[in-house]
Amino acid sequence: MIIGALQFPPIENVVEWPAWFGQGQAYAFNKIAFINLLAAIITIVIFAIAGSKKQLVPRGVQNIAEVSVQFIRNEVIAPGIGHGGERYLPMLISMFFFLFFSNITGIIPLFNMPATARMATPIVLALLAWVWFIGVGLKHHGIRYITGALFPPGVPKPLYLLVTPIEFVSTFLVRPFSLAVRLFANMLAGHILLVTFSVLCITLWGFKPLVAALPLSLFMLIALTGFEVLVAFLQAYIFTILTAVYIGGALHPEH
Amino acid sequence: MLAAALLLAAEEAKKTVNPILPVTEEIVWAAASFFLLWMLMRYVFLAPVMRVMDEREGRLREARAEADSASSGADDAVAAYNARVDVARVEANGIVAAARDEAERYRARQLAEANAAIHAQRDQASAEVGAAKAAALAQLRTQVAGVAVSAASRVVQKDLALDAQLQVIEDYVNGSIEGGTR
Repeated sequence: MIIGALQFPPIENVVEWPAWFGQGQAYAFNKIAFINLLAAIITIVIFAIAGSKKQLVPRGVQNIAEVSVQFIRNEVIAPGIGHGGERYLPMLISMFFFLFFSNITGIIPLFNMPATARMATPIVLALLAWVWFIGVGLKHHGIRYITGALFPPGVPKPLYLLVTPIEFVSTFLVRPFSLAVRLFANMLAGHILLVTFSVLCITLWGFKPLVAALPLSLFMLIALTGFEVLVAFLQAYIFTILTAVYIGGALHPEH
Repeated sequence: MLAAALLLAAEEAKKTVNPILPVTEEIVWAAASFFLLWMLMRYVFLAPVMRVMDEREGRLREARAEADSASSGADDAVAAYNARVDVARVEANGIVAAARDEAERYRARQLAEANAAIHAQRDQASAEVGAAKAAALAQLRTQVAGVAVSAASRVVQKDLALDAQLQVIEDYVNGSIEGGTR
């Protein structure tokens, strides 16, 4: 695609990656799969190292792991689930780290692509969250969880004609898609912004009449790179805490 | 012609991949990677970290309990010390009061003794003064009587017996005193 003198790559070139092996198969392994796997491995390595150290005053990797456990406990589980939420710590901490490392690769040289800028990772985790919170609701409250969600108490009966479809759509249909689309859209937008300013910098560098504008473009690229660090963390946190809130709503529907 | 155009468009649409839709292989790897992570975290790697944190929490709790206990012991020691100080203060006050009473008694005793001594000295002095006065009077009386007898001897041109005259004078004086007192 050529816009004036700026040659912006086609979108599929920005977000799609060829398979390294297994082309055409369901197990085809590409850059996105590699980032997902790497996110899991890095998290495992962090906790393996942290678990092997038993210092009274934690330092380094042990400190990172313990602080993150405290963070998920105090900032995700406590406000999102409350009483009885400790059992969901392994899933939530795995989700947070997996998403964070999948996001942060968007600004790491040689990767330059967040795995979550592809729909696969967000939709897998969103569907997992969806299955999980419905499963928690059914396990603890049986079918009353569904009926309670669809027919909220205290509502005049005629209004159920309006409320029940809205509750069904908002609680059981929209939630996984909103979770997935929020993460995917934010990371894709950030990725496209970085690509845009990178392409602009390259173009300005080669286009002498406008080379004076290069510092501005470079500054924007650096600023957006810094901003993407924040976005990577924030989106992982938002996804995790919303999952916790959904689980908390299913566990304590009276709240 | 139209059919060919539609077929071409369909072929083109097949080639054009929607970048928003998830692809199967990425879903497979994302799911596999996350479930691997989740299971390993749940059953292997999270527990040791949690154990270390719990142990630290336990140690902190014990240390805090020990500190509270030590603080409580210190409070007890302070209370016992204060109690002892109170007892000592009461004892000291008692000792001071007893000493003050003893001093008061001693002072009173000394004062009484001094007064008694003063009275005794005063009585003795009075007695000595009385004796001296009596002696002086007796001497004076003898001298006056001698002068009077001597004068009377000159008046009557005759020697008067001094002792007899003195006895007369003595009787007279005694009689005058008795008469005066009567």
